[in-house]
Amino acid sequence: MEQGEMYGRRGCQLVKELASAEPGQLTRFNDDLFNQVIKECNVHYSQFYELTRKMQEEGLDVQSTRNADHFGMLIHHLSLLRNKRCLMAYMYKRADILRSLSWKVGRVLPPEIEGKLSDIEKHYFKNHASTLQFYMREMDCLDLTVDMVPPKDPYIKVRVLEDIGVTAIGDKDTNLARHSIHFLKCTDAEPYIRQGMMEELLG
Amino acid sequence: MTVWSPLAPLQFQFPRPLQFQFLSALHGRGLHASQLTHPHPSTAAAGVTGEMATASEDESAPSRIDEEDESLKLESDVELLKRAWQNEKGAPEILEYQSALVRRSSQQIHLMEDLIEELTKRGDDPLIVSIYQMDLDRAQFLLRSYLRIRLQKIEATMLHVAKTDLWNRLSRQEQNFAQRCIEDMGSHMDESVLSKLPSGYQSNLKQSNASDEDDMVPEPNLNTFVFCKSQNSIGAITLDDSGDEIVDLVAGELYVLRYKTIKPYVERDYVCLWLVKRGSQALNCRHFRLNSKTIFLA
Repeated sequence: MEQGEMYGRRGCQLVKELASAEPGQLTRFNDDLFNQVIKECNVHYSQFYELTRKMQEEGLDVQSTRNADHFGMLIHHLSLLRNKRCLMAYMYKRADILRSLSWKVGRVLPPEIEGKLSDIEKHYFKNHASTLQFYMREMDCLDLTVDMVPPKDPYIKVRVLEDIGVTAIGDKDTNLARHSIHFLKCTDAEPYIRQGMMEELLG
Repeated sequence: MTVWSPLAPLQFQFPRPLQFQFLSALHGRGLHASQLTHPHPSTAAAGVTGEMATASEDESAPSRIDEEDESLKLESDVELLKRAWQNEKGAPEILEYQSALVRRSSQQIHLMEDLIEELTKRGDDPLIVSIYQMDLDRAQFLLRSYLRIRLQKIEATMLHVAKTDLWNRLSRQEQNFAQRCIEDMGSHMDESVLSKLPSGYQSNLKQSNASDEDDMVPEPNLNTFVFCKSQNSIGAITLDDSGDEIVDLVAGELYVLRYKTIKPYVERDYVCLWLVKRGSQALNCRHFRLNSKTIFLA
């Protein structure tokens, strides 16, 4: 750390980045800043260790003596804790958003979001999605990711936005060509609507 | 189907929801359609009674009796499921898992699905079939939403749930889920942050080795305000620890209180939490003075 650099400033920047994003949206994983904060933590620790050693060489009891070195150690310790908190908050909040995503999109991440994640986060997303799948399978294959809003009508009119082709809907095969309008069951149409491939026609 | 105005009262937001009783009311009992609780076009009524005559002829006597018992059970189960769902949605912490209720509800949902399939194959009046379908959809939504809310609560407070006796409120499958969540999150934090930090600061639960207890585990806020109603009058309950403020819970009145004060009553099912739409019936709620700060409702 350069002379006069405020402790914890980079950690604060990390957290501010989180706060400035749109709620529920992810920004690109800031590898650079993240690693800088970790480096700062390790510098704090080595200085902490130095001061401990210095006090021990002077024959002072590290636990109870209250001199300038002790307070220096205290500041390093607290700054370390502060940075740890910022880092954990950054990772945890992003993991939170990933978890709510896995409820919405299932197992496959849309590519524009995948590009914003670090490798570890992609791994976490996969793990969580499979945990969820495991639970749903244990509960007799009850799919909990559909039916997110209370049902109004059993059937809705939808317009297909992207060319999906012939798919089995219920027990019939329907041709979901682009711009075609269909009258489908809510639960059948829901996954497509959520992925943006269909839109509901109201009125 | 959507242009039928008589179907409008059957929507989910309607205060008296269509319940499984509808199934038994029509099917196999030969009830007249005018005994239904909401208006419908006379043509549909004629269709219904016409269908009912044929349906009741096909039913053998023992199965009709079974269905009557079924219907009594079915009616209370939907009510119970709805109440469990409301409580779970309103409470800040996870509540006791209603395993018997969930098991019964999913069995009955399967039965309904089979029935609807049978009716569609038989070519029954599509209006009746779609009414059954709506009933089924709503029951399914309740069940799914109930389980979903619980899972999301577990996700949000996984470490806290594992540490305290809230663990016993989870079903076996939810405990497995929570365990896996904790492992996933633990390894995620380890790989990304904790393993890179100096030793003594690598714990997921403690800030550092200097902490006496697990100070990194967040707890749900039991002091959040919730809307609630009780079936019967409960009488006076204290609003805070010093016993200064007391409030009388009268049957059928809507209150807004801190969750902590009514926690034991919710757990014993004396008080039910209420979900209020923004800006609507909240105005009929009582205001409470709490430490000389009156709570205003939007």
